[in-house]
Amino acid sequence: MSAKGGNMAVDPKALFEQGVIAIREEKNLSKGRDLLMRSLRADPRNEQAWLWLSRTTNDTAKRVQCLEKALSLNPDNIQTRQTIDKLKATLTPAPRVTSAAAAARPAAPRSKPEAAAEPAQQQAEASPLKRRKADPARIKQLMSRAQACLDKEDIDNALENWLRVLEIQSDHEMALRYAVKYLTKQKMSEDAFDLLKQAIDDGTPNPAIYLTAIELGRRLQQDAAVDALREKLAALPTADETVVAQTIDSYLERDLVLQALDLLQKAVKAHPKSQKLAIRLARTYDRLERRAEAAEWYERVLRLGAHTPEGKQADKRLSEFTPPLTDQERGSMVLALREALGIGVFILVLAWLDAGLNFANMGPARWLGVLAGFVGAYLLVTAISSPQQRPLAGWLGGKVPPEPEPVKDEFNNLVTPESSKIPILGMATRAGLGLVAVILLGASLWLVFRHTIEVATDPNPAPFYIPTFDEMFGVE
Amino acid sequence: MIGAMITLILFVLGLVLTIFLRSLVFPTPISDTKQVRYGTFPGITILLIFINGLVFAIFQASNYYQGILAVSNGNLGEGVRLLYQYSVQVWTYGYREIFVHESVGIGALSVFTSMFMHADMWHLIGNMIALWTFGRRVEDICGPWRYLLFYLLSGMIAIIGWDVLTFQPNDLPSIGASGAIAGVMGAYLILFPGALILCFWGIGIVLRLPVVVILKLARVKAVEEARLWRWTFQMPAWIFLVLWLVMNTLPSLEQIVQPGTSLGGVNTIAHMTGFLGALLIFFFVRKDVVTRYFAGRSL
Repeated sequence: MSAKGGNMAVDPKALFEQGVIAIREEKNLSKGRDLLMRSLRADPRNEQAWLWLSRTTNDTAKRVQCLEKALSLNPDNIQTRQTIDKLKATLTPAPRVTSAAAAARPAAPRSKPEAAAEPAQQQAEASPLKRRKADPARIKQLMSRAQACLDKEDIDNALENWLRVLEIQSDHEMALRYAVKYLTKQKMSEDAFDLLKQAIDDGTPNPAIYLTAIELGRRLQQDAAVDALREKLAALPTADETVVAQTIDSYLERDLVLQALDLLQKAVKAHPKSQKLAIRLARTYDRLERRAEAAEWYERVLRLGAHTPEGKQADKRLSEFTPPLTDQERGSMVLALREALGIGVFILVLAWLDAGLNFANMGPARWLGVLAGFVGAYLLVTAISSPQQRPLAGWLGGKVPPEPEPVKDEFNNLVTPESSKIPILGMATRAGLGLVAVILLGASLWLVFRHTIEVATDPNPAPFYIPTFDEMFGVE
Repeated sequence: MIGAMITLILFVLGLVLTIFLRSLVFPTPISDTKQVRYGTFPGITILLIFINGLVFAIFQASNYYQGILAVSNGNLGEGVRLLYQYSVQVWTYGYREIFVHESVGIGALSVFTSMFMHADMWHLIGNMIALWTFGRRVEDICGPWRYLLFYLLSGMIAIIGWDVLTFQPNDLPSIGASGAIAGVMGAYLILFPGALILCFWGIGIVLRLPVVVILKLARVKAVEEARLWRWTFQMPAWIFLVLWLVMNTLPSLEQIVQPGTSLGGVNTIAHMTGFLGALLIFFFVRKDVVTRYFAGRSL
């Protein structure tokens, strides 16, 4: 069984050690988190892994979760209990955050409804996206006012008008663009970010808004929010697949493989015909040693198009997946008999030829030869390519093969190649069967083809017709 | 030495040009376009091509081509003598019904000797190109020894089929690997119908040009990076193979129904029956191929 082609079992201990090294020595928290999570997926009962995992996040609630998990595995760990208590004390309900500047601003239409607005319009403005179609005139009016203010360089009032537009339609492209631009210029990036998030929360299908929000969120170092936005973008059917792919690539470059996998799983549902995303999903499964899923997705990439660069990559990778045999296939007597039957048919046809293509002429010797051939073929197949047939291998003293040693794969992970769990015939038994098979097959070939060999090697062959020179060319 | 090299280069160029010209109407397959799954070297395919070439070069070519050369040079007597020697080889080692039914000559061994003989260079080249195109992946999916057995069995079925289906006695010898190769082609059709075959095809590459131009003008994404002109043409294997089967089945049926119909020296009945021999392929493929095939998974 080659490490390359078989399904691999993940070594949780190795992953745990690599995760600790990433955190402690490389200071790479995200890589460490990824490795620890993979380790815990394989072995969730590692207390130390949960404790280390708690150090990889700044989110108090998540830290508490990890520590509670560790405590459940080792209730006597007093230090863990104390840490949980301290962290829980710091957890308070989070109010809706607005920047101080926005709170201080006299006209803050997002936090206070516009007092001067007509009551009907106020009601309309309360649910913006739903009223989009009904208020184009109002939006147009506000945008004109904003433009007029902008022309007079009255940014504050222009901003106010754009914000009012956004209350009607939170993803109005022009209003949002100007509002974000000028809020950012005024160092009110958090407010700009909130506007973008509002549009996204309201369900905007515009991918540009997501991208702008992601970029702004990164600058504001709001990692958790940015990750959430990326997830939403990945699942957005209107997003360009290239943009989604780039977003996912940024995770993969930072070794955030599990996060990338989550995004990809959502993205491929939104973009079922995207080869770019499908190949990334396949490669991500590949990287996580989930070969069965990787192979399935490479095949899907091929079905989407075999002659694109992605299709060629997938085909190349699939060709490196020597399809593994399952124990069911190894142990199948039917499959072994099938192989023997192929050889048996060959011998039967030889016998029929030898009998002059007349079954009536076959005679008992040839039929015996065919039978011997079939039995010999079966023994040969058992000895060489099917030594694990059930229950035959068990009856003949076969033993389950030992588990192989772990090896390093192309991603430098220690993996244990999958081994067969069914008995295999010993070499001595196989050699014995092979010897008997060769004798039987030799005897069979002699019995079925003897007459032909005698005719062909007859020192005094019977004459047969060959056209003469004259008959062929009519030349005297 | 340089002269010999130049001669060789000119010969190869002439060969390629002739193949291309012969492919003006009906495509000539030159390769398949997919990679193999099991990573095996196509040793048996190459060995078969080598043996066929060797038999022709050593055993037949000298009498045949020297005879033709002598005749064309005006040396009729010598030329005809050499051509007669060539004919005797074919009558002695080609498959004939009397060898099997009446146990004369080399008997049933002629089934195997005829499989490795060819009438002339183009017969050999045509067959070996087809074997190269279709044989490698069938070998990969069977494993070398099962593939060899399948090849020989297809050849046997092809010639037996011809023998059985020609109801009137026929003592004309039959030679060629095409019956066995028909079996390999049939196996390819069963296992890889959607594979793309690279062909020389004159009509195809000319007709392709306006289609590509129109699709590019319409900004169809699939042809964005396609070249405007190609000397080769890719077609799905099933189209080529079904077309080939039809072209061999129709004249075969005509011959069976009206014995004595001339087929221009081509044993289309053997092609047809050899192709049908491919139904036995599932006795010869690797274990996991059987389960994957019937589970509808990619091979």
